[in-house]
Amino acid sequence: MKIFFLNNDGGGFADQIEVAEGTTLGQLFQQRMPGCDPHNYLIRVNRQPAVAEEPLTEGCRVSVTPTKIQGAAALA
Amino acid sequence: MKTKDPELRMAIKLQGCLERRQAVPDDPLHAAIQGALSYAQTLEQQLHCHEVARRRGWLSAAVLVQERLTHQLRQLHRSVTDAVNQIHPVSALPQQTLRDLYDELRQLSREFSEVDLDLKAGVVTAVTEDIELKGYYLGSFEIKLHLARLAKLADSSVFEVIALDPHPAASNSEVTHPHVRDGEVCAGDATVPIASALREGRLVDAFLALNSVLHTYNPHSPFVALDDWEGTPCADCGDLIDGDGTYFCHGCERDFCDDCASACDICGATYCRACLEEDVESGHQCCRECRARCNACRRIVETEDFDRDSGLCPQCLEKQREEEANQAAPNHPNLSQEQEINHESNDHQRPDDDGAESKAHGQAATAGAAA
Repeated sequence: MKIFFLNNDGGGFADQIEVAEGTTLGQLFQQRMPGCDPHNYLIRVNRQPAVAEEPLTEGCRVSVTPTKIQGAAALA
Repeated sequence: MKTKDPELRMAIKLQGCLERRQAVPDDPLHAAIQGALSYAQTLEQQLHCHEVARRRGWLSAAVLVQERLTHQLRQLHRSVTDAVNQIHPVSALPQQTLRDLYDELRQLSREFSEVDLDLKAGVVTAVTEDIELKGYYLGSFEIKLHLARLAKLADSSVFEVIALDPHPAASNSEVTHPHVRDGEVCAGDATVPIASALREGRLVDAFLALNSVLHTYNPHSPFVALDDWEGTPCADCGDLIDGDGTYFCHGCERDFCDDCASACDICGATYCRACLEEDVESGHQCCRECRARCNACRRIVETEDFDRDSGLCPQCLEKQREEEANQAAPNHPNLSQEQEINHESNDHQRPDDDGAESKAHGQAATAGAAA
């Protein structure tokens, strides 16, 4: 099935990706964000908080935003 | 369509802004390249610092700068990758409908405890929770999205960040957060994801990314480092001083560091160097209470040497006395003879033996004839 995956860690692009039927949110995170701790991210499914065990549905929108992003000082 | 629902009304305004901006050719690649260039410029500056440190044998400084160089290089690599991705935008989301924008605003109210929709000003405001970084309390912040800016731009400059309980850096009151100066946030690693989110109308993603920046301290590139956040700035050199290390000047009543503070050599009170003046004769630094100015030569004189009656320094006073003495001398050239005559006349009046008296009388008569 196809879903929208929004990764705001990095380029912040929305990808329409193919995932297997029955894939849970936790499984998707491990596949797309290997080595990352989900506790360091705000993960939303269709704009709502969700648990890792929640199964994804066709056309759903999953967004992942880091809770820590380094800012900078603009050059003079 | 008339409605009283503020979120729907704001969604309609948002849709109008996004449509106006889409009418203008968009250049996300430009924003991404600018982000990469900023990292490259910082890298160049740090490389120069590293070369200076090595050339001068500052080994500890060189090690520290090398760490920053490595970090900056990784940042540059990442930003270039992001910029390359912009060449072939891969966003697959369909254009946000009015319903989507309405849902964005509803979600914003769930993500932040306080959200304000100012329809008249065209500003969407979300309030962060209290922020504390490395033990420094910074308070909560308003993240304000200006729709008028969004109609023209799709980057972090559409946002204004206002401290609600300001705890600014001691050295710069405009810096209320290490990465916020004068209401403008430097998004750093969030630059590209914020631009992508704004371009696609994903307001919540942009707000959340900015919120993450506010909750993160980047020690390699702040406007003011947290280690330098608190303290009293020296009124002379500007260095920050810890509470116990300040010296209060009794003259200008400002605080100074140990290097810039001094003391009056006469009374010992603490003063800054600007409030002391030197008596060039004694070499003493004197405060305003312990010095005076000679009315003649105008030099500074410490009060112990200053003659208040004449208002003169010792040198000018002596000179004045010499002049006075010289003025008195020309009118009485034989002053010593007069003294002798008076002395002789006094001798004549005193009881004396016969010889001395007659002799004195005779001499007086001779002196009077000579005059």
